[in-house]
Amino acid sequence: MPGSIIAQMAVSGALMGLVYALIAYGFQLTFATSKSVNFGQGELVMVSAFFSLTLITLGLPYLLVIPLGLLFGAAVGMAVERTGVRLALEQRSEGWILLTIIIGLFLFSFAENIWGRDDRPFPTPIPSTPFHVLGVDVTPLEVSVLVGVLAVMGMIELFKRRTLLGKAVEAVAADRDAAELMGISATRTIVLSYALSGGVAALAGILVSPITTVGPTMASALVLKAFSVAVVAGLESGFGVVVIGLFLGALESLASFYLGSGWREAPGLLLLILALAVRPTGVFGKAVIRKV
Amino acid sequence: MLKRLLLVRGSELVMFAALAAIPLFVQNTYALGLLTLLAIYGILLIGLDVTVGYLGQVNLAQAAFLGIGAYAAGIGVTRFGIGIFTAVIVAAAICTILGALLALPALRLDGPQFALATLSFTALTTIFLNELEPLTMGAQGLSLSRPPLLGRTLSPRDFYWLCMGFLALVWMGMRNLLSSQWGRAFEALRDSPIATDAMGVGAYRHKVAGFALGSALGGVAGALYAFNFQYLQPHAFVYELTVILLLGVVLGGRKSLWGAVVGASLVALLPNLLSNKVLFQAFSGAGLALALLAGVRGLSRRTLKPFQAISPIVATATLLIGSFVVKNTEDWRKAIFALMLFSVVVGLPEGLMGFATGFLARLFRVDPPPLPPPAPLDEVLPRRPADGEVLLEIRDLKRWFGGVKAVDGVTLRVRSGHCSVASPCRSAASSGRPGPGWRGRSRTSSSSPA
Repeated sequence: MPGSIIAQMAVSGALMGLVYALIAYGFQLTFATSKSVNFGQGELVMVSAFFSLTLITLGLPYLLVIPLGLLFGAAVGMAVERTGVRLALEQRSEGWILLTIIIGLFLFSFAENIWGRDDRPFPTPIPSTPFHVLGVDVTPLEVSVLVGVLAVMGMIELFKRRTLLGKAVEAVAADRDAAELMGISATRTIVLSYALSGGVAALAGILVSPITTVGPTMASALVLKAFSVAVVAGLESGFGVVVIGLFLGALESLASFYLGSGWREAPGLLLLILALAVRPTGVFGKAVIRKV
Repeated sequence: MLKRLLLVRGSELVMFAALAAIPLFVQNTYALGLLTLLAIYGILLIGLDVTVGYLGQVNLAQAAFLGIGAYAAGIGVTRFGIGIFTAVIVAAAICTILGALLALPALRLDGPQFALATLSFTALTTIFLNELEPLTMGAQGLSLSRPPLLGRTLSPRDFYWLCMGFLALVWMGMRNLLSSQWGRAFEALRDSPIATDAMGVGAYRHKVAGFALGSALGGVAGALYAFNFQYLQPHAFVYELTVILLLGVVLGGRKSLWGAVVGASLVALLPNLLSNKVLFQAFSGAGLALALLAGVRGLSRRTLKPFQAISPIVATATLLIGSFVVKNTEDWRKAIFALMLFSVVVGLPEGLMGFATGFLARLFRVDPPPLPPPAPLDEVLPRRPADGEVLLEIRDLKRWFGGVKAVDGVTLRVRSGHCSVASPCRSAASSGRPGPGWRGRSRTSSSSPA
């Protein structure tokens, strides 16, 4: 039955798309406060996944590995901010694009030499035997992705709306100068947003690596699609990335089914260029009025 | 003036003469291959410098244009049997067209969005080269043989001279172009596109043209690349190469032909530098000394921030320690490259050549090129007779920002020989309702023919 196959492909693709959405959400967090993103975010995802894998092979329980992995990701995110972004932002230049690429290159080489070039499986206590929901096979692993992504995004959104620190993040995002006049340190808020973004990326790595594998190149395709999702959805809308992520995941799964697996990445990239051409602020983004 | 001409042109001439003379003394094919690669990368980086240096955009698509140029030449030679020069022209033409097509949407963006658009173009190109198997042979790779030039087969030495000839041509062409009106327009664009537009230099048009030009040079380099290696594989032109090329431009120094060639030689020679351990240790030691010197000087004169002074020292020190600790430096190639680049980008934002030219200019006391004397306005402006001909006509002009109407329904006609006045005649506040803010009125004045 082709109908059920299409539904199956679309659902498992869409669940994968949630991982793109999560990484894209990390881009939005830093873009909101500092108008910059980490171009080496893929390497951050990969290094965090390798770190978590090391903890698991050391015998730590899975539930302890997740928070430790998140903390590691947050620490790397803060390091990226300190070394790659802060100076460029102070100079109001776009040097951060180059510097974050350079840091990513360093992390890549570091991981290659410390953990090896081979792809390794990521053991997890969550079973991967599929069960049947509404005529579609879903594995508990995929459900864990769904739950993890939505839970973390929900928590961060709550944090931004309910806590004082979170409101500071929102304030800097809305108007940096006004927020500084109110006594909020924009620099510290940007550090916080980079830490959150790093944590989110680490979670994406931990969630996705049982499904794929852990290797130095695991995140290069992932992060490219996360960029597509972030730009197509617009760099402001948290809701938008989930919608576009689900859509893109389903689309590329269908593309690889009909056109061959080599074309898997093509729809996302085409979508990105088209979206930039037609609506540079993204589908869910707000138009920016440029002042001279 | 003459001194400047002699020094600048003379050093260019000496460099090209020295590079061209090398194969007369060195017969080693390996060294010759590296030099050929240097010439090819030189062309490529000069092209990349147009967008990165002059237009000031982070362009991540140059590796894709290298690939497209290489495959265009390769397919042209294997399928249609075209010659070397035709292949170079075809590759350049295809890359110009594709570059312009990519630039049309992409250059409406800037900063990170532009970088992303070009990044995805590179990824898409790799996919297409991989998947269009009937044309490109896919992952198997495309083999070709170097076609003869004017009836004689080219030896590696002849081919090196050919590549050098292309580099010299590109160098001269770009030098003239960049010191012309076009070069100035590119630089103005980088600083402020809006101001450039207001000065009557079409920002968008110049940007697209600049990007297409850079892509065309990528195509030329690609065709030569194909004839150099005579074997092409899609995964040679991925994102990683693009990053290394970009960093080559930054390392060498933006907005400088010399910088592009220095960057190219670093990119081409770096793998060898790393394989020789003693050389690498000496190199990183020199780097550390330079970083220490620049850092201490910058801190004492307060021209550098502490982070700018200290982090290159830390990076180069890591490099030096690493050169003693690590067994196989080849494996750490990317990390070493990253550390070097980090120190240059943070500590020497002008790049190696930017730093060196400032230093050399002080050493030889070379003055900057003199500006031409200002021309009187009457000579520049076209002469018009005062015959009442309409020079400018505006009909029913409307402009509003959100809900604020700045201009509504202005009609204005300017005739030669008359003096026109635009005055605010009825403001919204005085009439109590939003009315036309400005009304243009053309008055004829008896005196003062313009």
